Formats: sequence, structure tokens, C-alpha cells
Amino acid sequence: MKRMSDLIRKFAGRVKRSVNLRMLSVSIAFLAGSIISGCGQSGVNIDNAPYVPKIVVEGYLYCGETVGNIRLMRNFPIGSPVDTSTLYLTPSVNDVQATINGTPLSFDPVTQTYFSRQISVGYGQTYTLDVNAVVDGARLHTTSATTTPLEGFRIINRNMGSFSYNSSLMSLTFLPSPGTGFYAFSIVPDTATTANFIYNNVFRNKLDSADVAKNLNDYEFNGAIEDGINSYAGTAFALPIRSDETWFYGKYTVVGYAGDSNFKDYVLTAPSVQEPDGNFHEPILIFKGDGIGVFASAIADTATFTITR
Amino acid sequence: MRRSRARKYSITSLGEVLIIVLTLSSSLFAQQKDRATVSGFVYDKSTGETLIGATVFFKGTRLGSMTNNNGYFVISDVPVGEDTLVVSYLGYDRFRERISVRPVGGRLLKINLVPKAYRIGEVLVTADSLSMAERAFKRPISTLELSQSQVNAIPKFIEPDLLRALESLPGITPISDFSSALYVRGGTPDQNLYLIDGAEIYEPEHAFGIFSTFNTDAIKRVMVSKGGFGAQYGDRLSSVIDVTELDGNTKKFEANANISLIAASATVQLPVWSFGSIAGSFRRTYIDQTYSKFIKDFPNYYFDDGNLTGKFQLDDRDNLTLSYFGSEDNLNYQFDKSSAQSPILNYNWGNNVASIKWDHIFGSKLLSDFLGSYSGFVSNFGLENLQAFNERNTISNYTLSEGLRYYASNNTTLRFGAAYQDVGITYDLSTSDGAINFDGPTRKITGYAILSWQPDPLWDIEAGLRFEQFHSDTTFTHVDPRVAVKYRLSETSSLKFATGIYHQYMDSVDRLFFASIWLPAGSYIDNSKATHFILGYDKQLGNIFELEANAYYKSYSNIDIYNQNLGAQAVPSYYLPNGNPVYTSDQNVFLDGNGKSFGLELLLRKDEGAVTGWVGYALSRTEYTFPAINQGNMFIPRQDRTSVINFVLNGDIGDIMSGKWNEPVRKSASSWLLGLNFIFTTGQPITVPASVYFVNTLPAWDNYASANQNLPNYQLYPGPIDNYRLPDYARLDLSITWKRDYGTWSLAPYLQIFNLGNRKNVWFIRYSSKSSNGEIVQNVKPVYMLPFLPSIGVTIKF
Repeated sequence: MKRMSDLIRKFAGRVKRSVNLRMLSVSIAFLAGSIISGCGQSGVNIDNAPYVPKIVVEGYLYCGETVGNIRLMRNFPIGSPVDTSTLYLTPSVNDVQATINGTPLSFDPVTQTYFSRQISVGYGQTYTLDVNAVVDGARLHTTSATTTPLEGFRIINRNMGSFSYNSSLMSLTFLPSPGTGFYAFSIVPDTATTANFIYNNVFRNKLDSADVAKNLNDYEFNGAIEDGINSYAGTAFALPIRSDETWFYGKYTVVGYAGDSNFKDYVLTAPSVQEPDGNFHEPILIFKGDGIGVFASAIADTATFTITR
Repeated sequence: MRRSRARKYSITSLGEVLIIVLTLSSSLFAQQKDRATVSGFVYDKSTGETLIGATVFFKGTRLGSMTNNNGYFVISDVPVGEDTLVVSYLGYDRFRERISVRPVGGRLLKINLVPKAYRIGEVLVTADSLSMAERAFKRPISTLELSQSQVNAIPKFIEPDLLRALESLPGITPISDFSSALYVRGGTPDQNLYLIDGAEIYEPEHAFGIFSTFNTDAIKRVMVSKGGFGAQYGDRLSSVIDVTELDGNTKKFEANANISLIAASATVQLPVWSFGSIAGSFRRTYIDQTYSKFIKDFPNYYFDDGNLTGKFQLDDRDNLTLSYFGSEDNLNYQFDKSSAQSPILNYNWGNNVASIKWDHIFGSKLLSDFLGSYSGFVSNFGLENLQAFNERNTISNYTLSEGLRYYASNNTTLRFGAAYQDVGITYDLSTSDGAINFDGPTRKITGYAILSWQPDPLWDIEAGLRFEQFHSDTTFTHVDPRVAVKYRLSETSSLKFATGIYHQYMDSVDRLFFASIWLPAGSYIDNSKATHFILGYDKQLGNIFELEANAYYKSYSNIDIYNQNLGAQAVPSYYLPNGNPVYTSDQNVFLDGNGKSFGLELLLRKDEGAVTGWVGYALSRTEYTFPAINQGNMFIPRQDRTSVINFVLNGDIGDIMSGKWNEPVRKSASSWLLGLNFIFTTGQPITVPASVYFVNTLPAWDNYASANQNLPNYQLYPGPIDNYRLPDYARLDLSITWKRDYGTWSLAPYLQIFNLGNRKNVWFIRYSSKSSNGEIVQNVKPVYMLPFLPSIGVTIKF
């Protein structure tokens, strides 16, 4: 310790003897400036990201059906109140003109959707949506085209049966459509409440009913995807239903879609626009002009199963 | 159409310039009878190491040269008779001796320079040493050289680190505290060519990118070219970082050791009989033996790296250098150590680089260096106790190269070279849903010719052509012209200009915390191209400071950015028996586009005297235009930094305070050394959401919308790409070292403080949103970079 104190004293003495006041003041000023600029906390405020109005489309064409349930909407600036009364674009308010392959779409004011009973959707056909509308005073225009899958997709075991929770036997079997490698499945219980929630699940077994109620939607709506499969194999594919897709006791409805490339691009990219480091990127939305959302086609089929207590 | 023709014309012009220069210079090759050639080597007298970049000239003349990477120099057209040869090198006593120059039978000179007994630095320039301006003139444009002591003097983050030291230079910026990857003049890390003793290295970073793999104690010299580099370098668009490792002490045993909070390292040098030396170093972290044992949930992790170099002088004209460099990282992390079934993450990777180099001197004017090297990288990433996931990535590079340098006359040097490279890249990933098996064997044949010509004392012209032929599943062939011109404006200032075309045949997929994946150009990935234009101005200010100003413009074609939507666009190559896909091509891995970087850099350096350092400022802008990004509109990439300010200062605290910045460094048994490193950069551009829209993820989820208490199911839509900037970055680091010399050995305990001001620099933002009261509410939480972080260590030399 004595040696250390001698050392410090010696050092201080040396500095004192040799110090040049002008240089010392310059050095201190510079050091202080560097420290000050190197101090502090940086705030982050992203509220002013520039907003651009868009025509938002949510439209699916199903082979074997007529065109219906097409929603034309608008987007909203993030971080400001959403006026849901202006969400849907209507012919009267927004001067909407919408066609598919040149056939005008009609507007249903009750469901706020567009339809055409004149168009029966066929397999392997291309349909082009064309929309004109006025949003925020700006005349917007967009087009998008979809090519429907070829015939073939169907669920083989539409009534899958009853299973105990976490059963490894829960499996849906389907035949693919030739040329379609993407299949999406919605797995949703017919009833989803805190009363029929599976509290002794294998993932989160410390949940109480308040936790479940808070995130009920997230537990209720689940899905599975098979992508890139060999659609020409001529054999059936099995889709195991996993435990993290069934959070409630009771009956479930599985809707399977053999989706076209627009369907695939939307499902795989639109909900995943944030990267691991927080940065955002653009999804693949197949629209020309001022459109976003999804205009896709699919073959749909339905199955059911039950989770017993 | 007009633009295309204009570009073609400019390339032709460059070729024409080269042909004219070659023709003019050919008449100058013949040497007159009353003149001779003087050649030799320059060594460090205390260690026997050859000195790179030492200036050798005849007093009172412009007849001179600089030593090359082997410490060899040639001065042609020297008048026969007696003259005084002067050799100077930073940190060494000046050598001055009268020598007899004979027309024939000249011997190879062996000049030993005595290191100053001082700490660092050099006495001020005197009349017969090469001026600072002259040294600056001889340096290629946009090129910096750092010695081991200069790298180690910069305050460090826990461990000395080469790449982090380079980040203190203008034009070279990091992306965050957690990455030592370099972004040079708007270029990306995969556009930097890393060479270690001539062998290429692909992954110069340790785990998570925090530390680089170069052990600074084993470094002899680092050359960094930020652009406009010569035809001897290729396959990268932006920069060259050429590391030369220690040869070893040919005179005596020498060692040093360093112990810090997380690692210990040792370097040993020893002579081998009378004709060679060996240098070896090894470094290993020990957090797996310390922190991991006592801190719950701390990952079991370590890295080590080391190198071994043997240099042997077979005779006066033949040198053989054997070199090995290796690094290894091992990470093992169990998410819940109390449960045997808990998932376990295993990740290990490492480099292995070996080379053999044979230098031969034919006569005195023709030098040959032959290099055979292997550079390999392997990474393995796997998960246990979870669904199957195993990833393996390998790179293996075998290179044979031959370089020839012919000193035709005192004002004309010719360099030729050729190389053959065999590079194999594999990437294998297996999961329960499918597999990726990519195998990319490639071959590259290159050749170059460079003519250096000084038509008169004011001009220095270098013209080169580089031929490259790259074979993968496609063949790419290019001939790239490179031209550099230097002009002396006065005794103390000079102008420099360089231009060149550069091609690159490999790109990497950079991943946060994980090793990058390299992919070769081929059917689906086009080769990238850049054209550099650089104008430089060097000025010596009062025998003390050196001012360097560089303006540059760099255009890019076919550069690549990882496709964030690859999951939706990958195309299966074939199928497993169960129908699951296997991907073997790199189709759609990257998005392709063009861009440009331009800027101005100012650097005020003080390399000599008791206090050394530099102040740098860089003003720059990088713009990209990619058809598939930002709807085809121009955007600013994330590495863009409008302004960067650097300040580095090293010296004895007493000298700093007393204002004796320019005096020679005093010899002292003990000294307190201060190091400061300050950096300021404009914030990083990022993309944030700008609007929301209400579309269900799946059609059948319509009830999700009605079940939502406030608003329907919504999606976020990003605003213009990289239109928002994170707050500016600033940091001040400090180091204090007490150095005590005990004669045969020395001790230097040190204190390093990273981020002295504890500034909370934002690394990235964690974004979340929810619907509430009829509004989509954003929640942004900044994730900060490294805080105030002190560390201690000690260096022992004997």
C-alpha cells in the first residue's frame, strides 16, 4: 500500500511540475466536450413516419363458387385514431369502381362487401381485379391478378374423430392439387372460453382465467402451413395437429386451403414484416399501383375433430 | 443508349492510357553503363524482423525506394561512385552510411535499423530523413498502415482488437458496439478482402461479432486500403485489409503475456539456428471456467485463436515462410439447466488458415513470391431436445499464386502475377419440414499486370489490368483496368487520383449474432461490380501534422441484399420420399440492385513526437435502388452515416499536460500513458411502420376480427425504407497504462474504460403494437448498446 501511495504521489508531483496551463485547459476543454457529447440517453420517437393512403383489398376467389365477400378498405396512419366508419370503401362515398376480368362488381351495403354472381370461378383460370377509388381526396388505382389452383385438393379424413389432449394420433390427411405446393390450415375451436381452456397444457401450465381472457384470441386462432411439398407425387400428405394448436376442449373446425402464389406470399410475409433486430421490411403484396392486402385464390375444404377431457 | 455508349468509351480510355504508358516506358528499361542498381533488405537490429515500408534513399537526391512486404528494396539508375545511403523508419534511429556503388557485381545490402530506446514515436524530421510529405506521397491513395503498437495504443473494449481499432479511422464505421464488422465508405462487410499473410479469410470475427479473430500481439503490420486499390487485389468491391504477422525474433527469445478480465494471451518469438525464427501466439477466453460456473443462465462459451509463423532465410536470395492461423468458438447453452429435457443450443465454428510462401530474388531486379495457401471455415449449429434442427456451413479455399516484380529502372517497375483458387462452399440445414443442401464448388483464375512509372520527379503513375475468370455453374470473365496518378504540388503537398473497376463473385448473408453464410455468383446470383473514383490531397503542416483529404465516388451494379421474404420465394429442387422439399440452389436468396456511395474524408494525423493521434471527419452518403425494395424507389441503406467524427490521442500524461507534444519521447523507467478514443456518428437508418390495414391472416379467421374488442385484426405496413434514423451515436473510451521497465522485462497494468460517459446509444428498437380505444398504439423500447464498461489487465514483456 505504501508503495502504491508513493507511486501516486510521485505521479502527481510529476504532473504538477510539468503542467502547461494553456495545454491543460485545452485538454480539459476537449475532454469535457467529448465526455458531454458521449453522455446522455437517446430518445426514440417514431410517430411521424410518413403515411401514404392505399386501397386495401381482402379478396379470395374459391374454385367452384361465384365471386363474393371481397372487401375494399383503406389504411390508416399508425398512432392516430381509426375511424372505422370510413374503413370500407363504398361506391357512394369513395366513388369505387371495381371489376374482375372487366365484369363490374356489385356492392352489398349490409356486409360492406363486393360480389359478382356472374363470375363462376374455375380451376386454373386467371382473374384480374381492377379497382378505382378516392381515399383522403386522392384518386387511387390498383390491379392484381390471381391464377386459381388446378383441381385436386381435398381433405381425406374430414371427420378426424375424438382425441385426448396431446394425442400424437391427431392427423389430417389431404391430397394436393397438382402444381400447388402451398397449403394453409385454419385450426379454430367452435367454442373458446376460459371455461373450456386446457389449463394443464404442456406449455403454459401456470395460467389462470384472467391470463387466458386477456389473450383469448391468440389461443383461439391457430394455423398450420405446408409449403413446398411435392404436389405431383399423387400420394396423400399427413398434417399432424400439434398441442400448441389446441388450447381448448371441444370441437374444432379445420379449414384447409390450397392457395395460389398470392395466397402464399400474403400469408408468409404480411404478418412477418419485423426482423429480429426490430427493423421492418416490406411484405410481398401482389398489387400494381396503390393497392395492398391480398387478392388470391384457393380451393377450400373443411374437417373437424374433438378434444375430449 | 447514350449512357451505355459513354460508359464503353470510358473503359476504352482507361485501356488506351495503359497501352500508351506501357509503350512509353518500354524505351526506358535499358540501364546506362555509368549507373547501377542498389538493392537489399532492411531489418530491425534487435529482433531481426524485416521492416515493411522503410524509406531508403541517397542523400540529397530523389533516388530512393520503399521496402516491400519482405523488407526488400531496389534503387535503380544510381550513379556509379560513392554516395550516402539513408534509411529511415518510424520508431528507429536513422541509418546513414557512405556506400560504394559499382556498375556490376553489386551485393545485396543488409541494413539493420536500431529501434529507438523510446516508448513510441520518433524524433522530428531532419534534413536528411525523408519528409513526412514524401512518405505520404509514396503511400497509395486512401491507404493507411498501422503497426502493432499503434493498434494496441487505441483504447480497447476489454480485449485489444484490430477491427475495432480500424473503426477509429474516417471512412470505416461499425454498425453497433456488438459487431466488429467494418463498413468501408458505404460498402458492406462482405465487400472487404481480409488477408492474413496473403491467405484470404472469410469470417474475421469471433462469436456474436464482438471480437475479431486477429490477436494484435501477433500482428506486425496492417495495411488498409479504403478504395482505389491496385490490380493485385480483387474479388471485393470496397476495401482490402492486409495483415502481416510477426516473423519472429532471429536474435533472441522474446515473449509477452496479457491477462484481462475475460482472456489470457501469450506471444513467443525465438530464433531457429542462425537462419530463421518462429513466432507463435495463443489466446483463450475463460468465461466458461469463471462466469459460467457462478452465474445462472450464463452460457458455457469460450473462444481461442492462435498463430504460428516460421521464417527461414535459406540463402541471400531465398526466404521461406510457413504460417498457420486458427480460431475456434464453442457455445453450449441449455435454456433450463434444471431440466434434462430442456432444449440445448450447440454452436461451434472456426477458421483454419495455413500458407507457405517462398520469396526468391533473381539477380537484383526481379523478385518472385510464390504462395500456396489453404483457408477453411466451418460452423455447426444444432438444437438438442427440440424438433430436429442442424446447420452446417463450410468454406474451403485452396490458392496457388505467383507474383513477380521487376525493377526495370529507377522510375519504372513492373509487377505481374497469376493465381488459381479453388473455393468450395457448402451449406446444409436439416429440419423436420425439409432440408437445404447447397454445394457450390467454384474456381477462379486471375492475373494482373501493373506498371509503376515516374516520368519525372513530380509524377507517379500506376496503371494496371486485372483479369478474372470465375467458374461456378456459370462462368464470369472480366478485365478490370485500374489507374492511380500522384502529382507533387510542392515540397509539402501532393494530389492523388485513382480509378478502377472491381468485380466480386461472392456475397454473404449476414446474420445477427451468427456467422455469415457465403454464396458464390452463378445462375441465380449475378457478380457485383463497382467503379471507384478517388481524388486525394496530402499536405504536410509544419513538420508536425499531416493532413489528408479524400473525395470519392463509388458506383455499384448488381449488389445484393438478403431477401427477407425468402421463406415465400424459395424454390424446391427435389423432394424427399415423404414429399418434403429439399433446396439446393441459391435462387431468390438475394435481391439485386444498384447503388452509389460518395463522400469527403478529412484526416489530420500526428504520427511523430511524444503525443500522437489523429482527428478525422467523414461526410458521406450511400444510395441504393433495388426493384424489389421500397417499390423501386431510391433508399438509404442501414450502413449510411452522414457524418462521422473520430479523435484518437496517445501519449504520456505528463507530456500531454505539459504541451511537449512534439518533443522526442523520453526514455523513462516508468511512465503513465493515456489513450483516448472518441467517435461520433449520425444515427443508423431504419424502417418503421407507417400505417395499419385490416386484413385477416387467414380467410377463416374472420371471427378474430369480431372477437377483437376494439378493432379488427390488423397488419402493419412499413413506411419508406430506412426513412427514419436512430439517434446519433457517440462514445468516448479511455485507457490509462502504467508502464514499468525493469531492464530485462517490463510490466504494464492497464485500466480501460469503454463508453466513459455511459451514453445510452441505441442499438435497435423493440417494437410492439396493440389496439386500444379505437387506435393502434405503438410501443417502442430502445435497446441500448454497451454502457460504461471498465476493465483491467496487465501486459508482461520479457
